[in-house]
Amino acid sequence: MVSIVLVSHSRKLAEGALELAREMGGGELNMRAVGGAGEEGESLGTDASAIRDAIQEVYSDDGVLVLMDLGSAVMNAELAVEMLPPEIAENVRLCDAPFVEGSVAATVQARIGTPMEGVISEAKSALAAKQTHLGNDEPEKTAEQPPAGGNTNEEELTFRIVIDHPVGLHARPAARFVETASRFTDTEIRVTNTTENQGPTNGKSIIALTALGVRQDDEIEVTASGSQTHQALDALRMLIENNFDND
Amino acid sequence: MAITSENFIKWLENYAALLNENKAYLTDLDSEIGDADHGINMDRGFQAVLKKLPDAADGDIGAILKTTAMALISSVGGASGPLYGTLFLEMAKSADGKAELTLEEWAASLAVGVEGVARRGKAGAGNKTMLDALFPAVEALKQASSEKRHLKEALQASCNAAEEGMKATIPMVAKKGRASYLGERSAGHQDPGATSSFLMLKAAAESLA
Repeated sequence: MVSIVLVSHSRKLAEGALELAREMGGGELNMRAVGGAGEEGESLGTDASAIRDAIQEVYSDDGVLVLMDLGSAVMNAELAVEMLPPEIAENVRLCDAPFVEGSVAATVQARIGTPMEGVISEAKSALAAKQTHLGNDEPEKTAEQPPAGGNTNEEELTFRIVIDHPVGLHARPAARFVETASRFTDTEIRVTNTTENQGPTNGKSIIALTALGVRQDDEIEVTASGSQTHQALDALRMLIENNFDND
Repeated sequence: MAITSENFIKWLENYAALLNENKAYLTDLDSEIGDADHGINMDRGFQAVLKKLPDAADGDIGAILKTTAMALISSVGGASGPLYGTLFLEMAKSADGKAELTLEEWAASLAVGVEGVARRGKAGAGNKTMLDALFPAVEALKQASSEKRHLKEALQASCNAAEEGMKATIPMVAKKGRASYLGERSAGHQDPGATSSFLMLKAAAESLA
């Protein structure tokens, strides 16, 4: 699994973002929060050697993704990577995603075992949900577009269901959905908010899914195509009927 | 005549003292166009350097400069941390294992450090940054070195060039850092980073020969 390091000028912000990301589903992920300057991190600032240490602590060959807030955090993250041995540095990536949204998105995606490039692409599109919700801006086109065409031999199956969870298809329910959908690697999962007429979108992307704006009592349509359509739809239906594992 | 590791220790101590004396001045400059912490940050950084220097005092010049870099990186906090940290880290690499530097080597070492700053800050000349003091200082050193001038003279020339470069930042419009948010309004103020870099070259002129 990709490990994650969160860097902020404020230690409280870094730790808060970590807490939020863990709550959304980063339970057993290797993560660290680094931030603040001074011996106890009591003042605002960042410290390249602390960032380097954090990267080394969580390092695995699957790579380490570093998300940071602004200004000197960016330079210090770059400097931290340069201070690492080259064989470690080559598996470290710095991510230009928005800090809080990107941290949550990257964490959820990393936890389901997505490789580095997928985690980065998910984090980078992390503003889409908010943009869609507020309607200020067209959400950026993200990597969640389905592969065009597809194998014509594959069957496509669909079910519709009303979401009963109080938060709708957001936060942990959305994370559970993505987690479950992602187990079926050869099967494409598409989700439409039929109540609000939003979608279809990629059911394996937390960002795409939350951008549908599914609230409690909204109906969704879940479509699967690929090699494990029955199994995938059974698993997702069971998850929703169990109200997301009583979450 | 060469620059010894004792000269480097003296330089860093001298620079720390200058930063301490000019702490309020640098912070005032920064309050005009930045976030009013440059003097505080640089002073905190070099006080940390002073604490660490005794550990490296017996080492070569590379070790002294690396100790300085690491102390700055861990203590400055603001953008000056990675920028000055990179400057000293790159100079440390070029002075690795050396007990003394010739004028030519010092010019080359400073040049490598300054290139590191430009790369780290994604900045160039004329952006109203520390580089506007550092680039002319490097050029003056290189020229003095090629003309085989005396070390003392060369260091003074580089200090003078840094001072001119610093003053030249006054009419500039900032392109980098927080000052750039002000756009045209950043003109008319001397850049605090160029000022702390001038002080570094001033300390060098006083201590390296």
